[in-house]
Amino acid sequence: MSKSILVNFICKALGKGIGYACCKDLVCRDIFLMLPKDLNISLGIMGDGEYLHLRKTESGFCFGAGAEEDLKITFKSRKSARLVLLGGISVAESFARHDILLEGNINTAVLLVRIIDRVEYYLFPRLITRKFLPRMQKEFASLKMYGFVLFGNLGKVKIEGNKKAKSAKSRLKKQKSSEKPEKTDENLQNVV
Amino acid sequence: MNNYFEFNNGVKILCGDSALSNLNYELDFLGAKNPMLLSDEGLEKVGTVGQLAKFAKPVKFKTIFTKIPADSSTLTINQIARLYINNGCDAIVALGGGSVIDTAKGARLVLGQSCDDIMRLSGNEIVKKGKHIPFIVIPTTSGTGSECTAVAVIKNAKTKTKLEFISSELLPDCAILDGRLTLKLPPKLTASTGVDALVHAIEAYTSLQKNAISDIYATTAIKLISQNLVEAVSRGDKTSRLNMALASNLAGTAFSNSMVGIVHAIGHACGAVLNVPHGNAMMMLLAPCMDYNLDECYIEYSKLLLYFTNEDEYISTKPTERAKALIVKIREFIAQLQEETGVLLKLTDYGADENSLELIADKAIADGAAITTPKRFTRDDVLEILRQVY
Ligand SMILES: [Fe+2]
Repeated sequence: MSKSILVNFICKALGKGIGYACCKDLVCRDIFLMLPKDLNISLGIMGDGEYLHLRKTESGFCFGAGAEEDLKITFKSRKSARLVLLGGISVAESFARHDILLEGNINTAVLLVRIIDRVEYYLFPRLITRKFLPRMQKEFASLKMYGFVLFGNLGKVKIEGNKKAKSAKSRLKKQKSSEKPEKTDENLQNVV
Repeated sequence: MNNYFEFNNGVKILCGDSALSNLNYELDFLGAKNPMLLSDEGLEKVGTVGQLAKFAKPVKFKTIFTKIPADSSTLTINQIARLYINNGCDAIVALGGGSVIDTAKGARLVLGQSCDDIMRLSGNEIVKKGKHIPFIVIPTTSGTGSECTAVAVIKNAKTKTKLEFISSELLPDCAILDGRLTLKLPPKLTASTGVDALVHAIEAYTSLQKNAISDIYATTAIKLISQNLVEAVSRGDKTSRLNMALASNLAGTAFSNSMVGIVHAIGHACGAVLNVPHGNAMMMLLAPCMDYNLDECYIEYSKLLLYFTNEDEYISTKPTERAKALIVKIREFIAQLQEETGVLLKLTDYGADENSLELIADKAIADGAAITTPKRFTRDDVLEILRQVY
């Protein structure tokens, strides 16, 4: 089966977004620093094969496969991949639906999911993310992320030392964790 | 409720008085003639291994291995697998708590998949159907529910890291719940493992992966726990013990299908950093984490009040007050258990300092349970919760 052009495009965009966020967003950078050294990640769909290979280097993520993946994420079907990649549901919800197979350390995958959540928060309008992501504090305008995803070169964006990362933890503290529709007394009456 | 879910519980359950007398039949049904018994030295010392031999007559074990340490690893798993093959065994019977059962699951996985490096199988749902190794689990604690879960945590002896395995290949063929085997469980352990089961049920009922079937398991478990745990701790009679064994099993099935959440994410981290026993961490963290989840789980908590208390209490509580009332009841319940048993419920009791809180927070945000928890949490949210139990 030939690969899906749409999924291919979105995966590349996601890869660039992850790389950019890990360099420019302090919350993501802090998580990036917690990821194992020389981590190799692949993202694919059962039957299609891999769509994205990311490698962790000292200066950030770059495209390209390593000798062996440390973390292999595989969607069970194109439908399940599209659901996540087009902003229908979050990665966490996809996992909850048993749509994702995961080879490797689950803790590493959780950290990656935290980065992807923030990337999606930048990439998708709030109208879309509202139903599956809590409100987060953006550290730069989404337009910058769009620009990089469309025209940027992942090899050229780099983490500049660990100086700024020190402030990441304090930044993380400011990040408010939840914004979901209020469960009011009225709608509560209907279900209890 | 999710518009799509999966539910898997292919474990045959034998529950009740003298359930063990049917072990012989179950082994025969599975085609096993030379079973291997796995347990630990503690259970051998207190006579539980001997009790099993007595209750399960005429079962004869080809090999009995009781050298499973509390902090078991791939080393023990490989040792068991070699012994199994060399001694010509054809089934595994695991008798014990979480560590024994997880080790047995690991050994069965190695044997069934014929692989030399079990660590390559870590992850979520990547293990394919392997050779069938008959596997029966007999839990001696009432908390983990591990006899019915498709999850195992196994330590890599080389790297000293613990990896999580999620696969239906980890489910045993049969689980035997016989109240007589938990009679010797001391009150402290009865209380903490019982609350662990309660947390499994509450987190399964509120997780992203919750579904109509696991809800039934979770609510039934909650009812059984609220009615039997205090009794099992204070009197330790056979009926309350058996009810707790069943509750733990039901809660295990619920969370095996719906997963757990923030209480476990932070609890695992407390265990890793400060060696806080899992059940104690659950007792410590349940109420503060419920407070944290309250706005997101308002409806679910309101409903759970019915199962944790009774119809009268539920009806007499204003609908808008039910969720908070549940948390109050849970706090009282845990306080009562603590009073009875003296379980230590402050992090400083385990040597915590500011630095260890930071380490716990780092670990908690990377825990697998953070994926399916109903309300996302940040590192700072974890620190706030930890300070409440500091
Ligand atoms: Fe637990």
